[in-house]
Amino acid sequence: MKTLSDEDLMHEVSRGNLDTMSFLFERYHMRVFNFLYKMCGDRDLSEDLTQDVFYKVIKYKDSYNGGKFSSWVYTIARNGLSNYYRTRKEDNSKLEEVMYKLGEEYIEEESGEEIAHLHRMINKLKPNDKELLVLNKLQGIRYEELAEITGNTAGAVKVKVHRAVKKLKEFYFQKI
Amino acid sequence: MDCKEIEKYLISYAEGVLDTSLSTEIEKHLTSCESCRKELQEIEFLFELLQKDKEIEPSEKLRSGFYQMLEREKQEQSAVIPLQREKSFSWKPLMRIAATIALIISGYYFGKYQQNKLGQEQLATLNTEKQEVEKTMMLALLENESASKRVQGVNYIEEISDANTEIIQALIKRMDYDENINVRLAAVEALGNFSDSELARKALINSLEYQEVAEVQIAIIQILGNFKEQRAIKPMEKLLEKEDVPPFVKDQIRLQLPNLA
Amino acid sequence: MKRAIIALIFSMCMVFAQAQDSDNKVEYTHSLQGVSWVKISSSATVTVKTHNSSEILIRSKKPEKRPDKARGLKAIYAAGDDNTGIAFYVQKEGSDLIVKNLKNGNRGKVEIFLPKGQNVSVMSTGLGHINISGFSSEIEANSGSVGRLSIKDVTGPITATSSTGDIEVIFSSVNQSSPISITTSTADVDVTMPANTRADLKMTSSMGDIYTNFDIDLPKTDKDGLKRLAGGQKAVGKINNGGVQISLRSSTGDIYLRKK
Repeated sequence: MKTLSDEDLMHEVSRGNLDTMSFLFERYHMRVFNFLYKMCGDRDLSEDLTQDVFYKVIKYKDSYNGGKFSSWVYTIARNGLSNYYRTRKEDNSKLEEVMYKLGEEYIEEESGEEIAHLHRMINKLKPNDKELLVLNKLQGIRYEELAEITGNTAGAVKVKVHRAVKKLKEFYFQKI
Repeated sequence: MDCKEIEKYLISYAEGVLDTSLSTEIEKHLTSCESCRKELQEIEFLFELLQKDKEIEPSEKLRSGFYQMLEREKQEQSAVIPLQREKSFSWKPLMRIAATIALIISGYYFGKYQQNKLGQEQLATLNTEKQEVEKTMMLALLENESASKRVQGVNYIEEISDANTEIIQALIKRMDYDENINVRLAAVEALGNFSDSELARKALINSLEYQEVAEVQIAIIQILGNFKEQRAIKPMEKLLEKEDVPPFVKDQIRLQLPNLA
Repeated sequence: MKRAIIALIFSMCMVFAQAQDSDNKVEYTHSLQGVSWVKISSSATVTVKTHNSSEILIRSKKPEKRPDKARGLKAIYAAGDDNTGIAFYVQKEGSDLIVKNLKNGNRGKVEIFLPKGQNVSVMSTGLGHINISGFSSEIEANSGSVGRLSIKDVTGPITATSSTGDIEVIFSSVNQSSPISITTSTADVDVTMPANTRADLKMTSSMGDIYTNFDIDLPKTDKDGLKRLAGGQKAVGKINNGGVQISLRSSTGDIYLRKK
C-alpha cells in the first residue's frame, strides 16, 4: 500500500475507501502544518487549519480531478488560510499586523538568534512574497508545481521568488 | 556582461540552475569583482540559513483529531451508502451482461461441438438469453462515443436475422442523425438487410430526401433498387431535378429506376 | 577583403532569415488531463503528429500584422472566440477538448502535436488537407469537400471520410479491437497494411475498380501488379483467416489495398 502514488491513494478515497485517507494524512500533515505555521505563526490555528484541509479533501473527494495530489492539497491549504484572514479582516485588524504579531510566537520556539532573525525578516515580506518564499525555499516546492498551485506560469513564479529573496536579503543584512 | 547583468543571474547561480556557459561567465566575473562576490556571499548565506530551518512537529492533538474526524466521516458515509448504491446502480447489470456474454460465448462454442450432449431445451434458453444480451450490447454500442464502436454495433445487427422494432429504430436514428458518415453508411447497409420491415423501408425512402452526402445517397438508392421499392420512384425523380445533386449520384438513380418501374 | 565582407553580409542575412523564420511561428499548449477526445476543426491544412509530451501543442504561423486602425480592438471570428491569442479556440467540454482554427482560408498551415495514445478527431471545414501520423489510438477524420486525407503510421481504429480528395492510409499494424471504415465520394481510397493482417474485408465501389495484392479468392485482371477484384460492385472476403472488420468504399473512385 505504501508504494502507491498519492494520486492512486486519492482515487481510492474518491471511490469511497476512506481508510486510504490515513496514508495521505501521514504523508502530508507535516508539510501542510509547517506551511501554515510558517505563514501565520500560530500553532493552534495551524493545527486547526491543517485538520480542516484533510476534512475538505474528504468532503470534496468527488471533485478530485486526477491532478497532482500535492498541488491540490496546497491549494486547499492556501484557500483555508486566506479565508481565515478574510474573516479576521472583517474584525478590523490589519492583515500584516496580525501576521507579525502571530509570528513572534513561532520565533520564540526557534533555536538560535540567526533563525529567529530570519523569521522576523520573512515576516516583514508582503504576504504573497512570503508565501512563495516559504513554499519554495522552506518547503522545497519547485517552480513548476508552485505555478500549478498559484495559477501562474513557472517563469512568473521564478521572477517573484527571486524578488522575494532580494527583499529578504535587504531586510536581513541591513540595512534596516 | 556588466555587474548589473551579472547581478540578475546571481540568485539562479546560487540555486544551481544555470547552464554551464552562463555559470562560467559568472565565475569569471566574480574573480575580478568584489561587490558581486559580496552580493553572492549574502545570497548563499541566506540560502544556507533557509536550509537550516527545521520542520516543526505539530502536537499529538492534530493526529488524534484527524482520526476522530475520519471515523465520523466513515460512519456518516455508511449511513448514506444505500442511496449511493442506487445511484450507481447502472454498472451492475452491465457487469452481469459482461459475465453472461463470457458465459454464452463459451457456452456457444461448447454447444457447437457438444450439441448432442446438450439438451434441446437448454440450447433454446441459451439462445434467447444470448439474443437478449446481444441486443442490449448492440444498443449500448450504438450510443458509444467512438465512431468505430458505433460501426461495430451496427455490424453486429447486420449479423442477426430477426431484429425487432427497437433495433430497427436505433439503426434509423444512426442513419439519419449520426455525425459520422461511416456510421451512417453502415446503418444504411444494415437496414438493407430488413427488406421485410415496413419500418425500415419507409425510413430509407424518407431519408433519401434529407441525406446530403453523396455516398449515403448512393447506398440508399442501391438498396431501394434491390428492394424494388416503387414508392422510391418519386423521391428519386425529385433528386434528378435537383441541381446540387452530383452527376454520379444521378447516374445511380438512372441505373436503378428501370428496376422499380 | 571584399570577399570577407560579402561573406559577413551573407552570414548576417542567414542569421536574420533564421530569426525571421522562428519569429513567424507561434505556439500554444494546453493540458489534456481528463480529455478522452481531442476534436480539431480547421479550414486550413492541418498536420497532426505525435510527441512525447502529455499536452497538446499547437504551432501556427504568427497572425499577419494587424492594421493600425485595429489598435485597441479585438478581432472577431465567425467560428468562435480567440481564447489562445493565436487565432485558435481551445475549450474543454466534458471529456472532449475542442480545438478550432479560427482563421479562414488555407494560408498559414497548422501543426498540432499530441500524445501517441490520444483519440483524435480532425475535420476540415474549408479547402485544407488533413495529414495525420503516428497514432496508436482511435482516429476520426473528415476532410470536407475537397481536402486530401493522408493517415500514416497508425494502427486504427479509423473512421475516415472525404468527398473529392484522395484518401491514403498506411497502417503500421492493425488494431483488432474495433472496425475500420473509410469512405469517399469520387476519390480513390489507397490502403497499405502488413501482409499478415487478419481482417474481414468489405470493399465497395459503385463505378470504380477494386485492386489488391492480398490473397482473396476473386477473379483477376492486372493493373500495376495488383489483382483486379471487381468493377462497380462489392468485394467481401477474409484475409489471413479473418479478423477485424475493414470497410473501404468509393462511389466513383478506385480502391487499392496493398501489402506492406
